[in-house]
Amino acid sequence: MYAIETHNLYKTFGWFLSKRKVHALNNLELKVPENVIYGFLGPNGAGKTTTIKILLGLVIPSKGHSKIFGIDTHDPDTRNHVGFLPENPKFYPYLTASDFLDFCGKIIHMDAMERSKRKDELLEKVGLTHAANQKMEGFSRGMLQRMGIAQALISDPDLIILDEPITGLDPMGRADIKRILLELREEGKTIFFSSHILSDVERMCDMVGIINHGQLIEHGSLDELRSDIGVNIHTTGVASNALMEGEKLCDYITLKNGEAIFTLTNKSDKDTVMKFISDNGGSVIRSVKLQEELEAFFLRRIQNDEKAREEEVN
Amino acid sequence: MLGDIKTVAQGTFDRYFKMKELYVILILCILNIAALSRYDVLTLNMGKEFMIDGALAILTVVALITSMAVIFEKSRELREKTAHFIITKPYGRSSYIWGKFIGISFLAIFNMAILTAGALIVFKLTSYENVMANNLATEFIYAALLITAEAIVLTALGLFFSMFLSDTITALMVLVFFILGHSFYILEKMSSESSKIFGWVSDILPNLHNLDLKSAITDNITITQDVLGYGLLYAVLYAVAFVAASSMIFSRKDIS
Repeated sequence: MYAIETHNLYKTFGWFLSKRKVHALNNLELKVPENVIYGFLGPNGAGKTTTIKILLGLVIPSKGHSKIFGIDTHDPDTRNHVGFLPENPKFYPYLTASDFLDFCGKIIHMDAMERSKRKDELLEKVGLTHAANQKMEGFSRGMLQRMGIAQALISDPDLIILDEPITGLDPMGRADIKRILLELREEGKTIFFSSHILSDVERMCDMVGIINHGQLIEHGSLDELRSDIGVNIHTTGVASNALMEGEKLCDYITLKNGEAIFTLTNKSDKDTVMKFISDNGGSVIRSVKLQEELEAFFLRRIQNDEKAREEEVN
Repeated sequence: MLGDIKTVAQGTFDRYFKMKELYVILILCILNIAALSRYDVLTLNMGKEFMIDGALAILTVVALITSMAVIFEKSRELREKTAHFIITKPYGRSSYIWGKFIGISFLAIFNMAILTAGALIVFKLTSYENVMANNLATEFIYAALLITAEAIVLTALGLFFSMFLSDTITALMVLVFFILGHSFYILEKMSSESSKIFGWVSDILPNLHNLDLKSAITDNITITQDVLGYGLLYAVLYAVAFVAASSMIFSRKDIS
């Protein structure tokens, strides 16, 4: 069973007879397995937020189905299994962190004792125990975002949907959110989030999906998606006077901790380099595959998609 | 669902209850009512009537402003995504609309109670002993109750219009309906035995004249409990119908 599943999903905004219709989703097919961190990527206006809103019942699809843990999202009960953090949310500034979580607990019918226990647990999880009795009007952006995650977790959901959770945070704030998300995955939760900060997505996500013009154009694990762009061969014992010669065979050589690292792109001849290493008294410690960065992959994939669409129009 | 509605209503009411500005406005209103006692000479000894009329007018203006709070409150919470914490929960949308309506209705009741109590104290403290005589205090309370009911009707109308219109246009629509609502009784007068359609139309539009006892009290016309009962029943049914319609629309609406 998938945590999230959409089939033939369409969403068009605009009045029935309006000429200015916006096709936000166009046959979106998405499958997110359980217990992964899934990064949902795409340029502005690609349909990320619309997809999230459909999953949460905030927007009604024009056509198609979406399911959460196998249940159609038309069924309001699906929302019992989901925690949600919207993009740039505002909180009631006159409430303290503790009062706000209490309010969220009341909405999902927790009794007073359960609420008290749960809010203490959550404040500790997001590192805000010290601010439990402070009014949220004085909270920093990072603290507010952590409060947002705490409220999303109030019902101990199996699926957590976050819309741009790390956008606008400083490095410390981003590190906090990353830590929390990784901990949640360890607890067996599924995390589905949209983001523009690809370096963070690359470090956190098990899987990514790329959406453009309302269609999923890529989906899979990072290893599956990114192309190999070369290899780093870590060696020891290569005669130092031979390294200048060796650099002509590969892209460059780095000396680090007594190792000579030969960096080869796909254009280099790996066999020649290996022979060179052994001929000069060296031995290979390990080879590390080099993959293109997610950002490069993302840009390449979006550009290809745009080009294909243009060609289709012409 | 009732629990959700109570939570949202309590949250909405608490938000205003904790606002210092609200109390400043209410105190200023009571001082304003007290200031009306100074107009006895200027009104050629009609100071008593002027004071009662003025007090009820102030109550009406506060009721109108209170009812408009729901428009801006709902819209702000949706814009700032505070509402998303509630409406993404199961059955959250209906609970949110009913909760907002009940929260603002309680705020209207609270405001009217403070102003009515303040006005009655002012009447007692001023030299107009006869204001409190002849059941006038009771009738003033009846009038305040119907003004509260009017605030509840306008809150329901505001919620309904906010489903389709922007904040400003909705507020203007509520203002227009407030003004016209007090004039729709003309249609009622056009109604005859053979054609009751004007009477029905005036009740649907809404007919806020049903909730207006200002002239009756000032003119010393005795107000019966039937009039009060009819007014309150009309307001409750009218408000419930519009909030139910708003809730149904909101449940099927895309939240951008």
